[in-house]
Amino acid sequence: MTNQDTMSCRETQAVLDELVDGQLSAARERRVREHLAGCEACRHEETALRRLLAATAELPRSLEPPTDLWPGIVPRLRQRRFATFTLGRSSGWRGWLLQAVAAVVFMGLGAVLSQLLVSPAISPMPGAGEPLALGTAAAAPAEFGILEAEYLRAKEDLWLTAYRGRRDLPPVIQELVERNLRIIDEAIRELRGALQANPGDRQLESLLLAHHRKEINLLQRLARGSEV
Amino acid sequence: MACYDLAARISATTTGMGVAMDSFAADPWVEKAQAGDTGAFEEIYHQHVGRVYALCLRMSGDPGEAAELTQDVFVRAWEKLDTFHGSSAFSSWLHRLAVNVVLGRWRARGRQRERVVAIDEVDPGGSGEGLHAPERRNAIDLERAIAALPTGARTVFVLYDVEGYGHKEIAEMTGLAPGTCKAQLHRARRLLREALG
Repeated sequence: MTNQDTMSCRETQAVLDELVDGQLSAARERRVREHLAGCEACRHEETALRRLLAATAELPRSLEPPTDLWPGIVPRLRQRRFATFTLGRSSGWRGWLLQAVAAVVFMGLGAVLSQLLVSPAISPMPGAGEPLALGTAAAAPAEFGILEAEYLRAKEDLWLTAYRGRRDLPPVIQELVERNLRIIDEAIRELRGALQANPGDRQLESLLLAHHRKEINLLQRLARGSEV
Repeated sequence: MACYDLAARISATTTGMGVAMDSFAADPWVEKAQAGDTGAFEEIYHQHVGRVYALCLRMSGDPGEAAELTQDVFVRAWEKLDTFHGSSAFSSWLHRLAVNVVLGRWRARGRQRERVVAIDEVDPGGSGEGLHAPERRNAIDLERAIAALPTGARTVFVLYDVEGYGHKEIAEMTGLAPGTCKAQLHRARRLLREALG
């Protein structure tokens, strides 16, 4: 062995992590092992490192929290899921408006979904809220994933924004709207399942994007009610 | 007729016909929770809370903060359930989400937390039936030593050595360069060896 081939203690200890992780090349590992064979101090370091990793591997993967955390989670779930409607005060004519909007949405949703399911191209709901800078239903295949991600982000923003007005929403309206949103969510899930079976199907992609828009439009309409 | 075919195809997916699912079997609890069933989500919580809490505790080194983070993780999971498409195991998806929640909180604070915490509340033996007394003591010592690591070193050590993520994944999650991840891991392991004698 030449001097060039020998490793110093410093060099050896710098690569002990890679040695124990099995990430050294065969040639380098051979050189490290040659050094270890003749160096008690470095062997001690290697042993200590392996002992540490063995002890780490024995740590429990699961630790029970000291208290049940679920009670602190539940109210926040309801808020997130139900209260996406920044509606402000719901009394008087505003309350009437809310109920009217919800009733129209509920009664009309079946027909709307039916139309979605038989229409190859769907246009956004007329009179919907502020137009989002999102693509149209006729997205090219490569754009589909990007568009869907944009829709998901837009929906998330709406949910979070509308959260503030949740407490002003009458329970009956909450239930109606929640039911309608679930119908849309269910349709989205079914369309995703269909896309898994038929990846790249343009009609299904268009339908899925249309459903996202439908949910966004519903949320936008409801949110705008608070600004009237 | 095209419309009929389309409707039939969609209908077939709802009855499980012709749906090429991923290699990961659909979890009925997850599916119910995705439909808005909070009862199903509670079941998911009970199935996974131990692992999520362990991750949050080891990454934060603080039982109180770990409890808050764990709650945030499940609230976030509820919000994000629709984005889980079954292309990975749900537990993997949830775990990755938990890591992002913890790292996100730290980023939101806009500072690195350098702290030394002796977490007496950490009791690995609580879930470590079968450990003999000396092993249990060693495990507690190790947990405390991990909690006392500097934040950067602790984060990489927990993600790499405890949770099994690779350097590339950790670099993606943390925004650190892979070389920095390796350096932090090296530092963490050295500090732990020193702490444990």
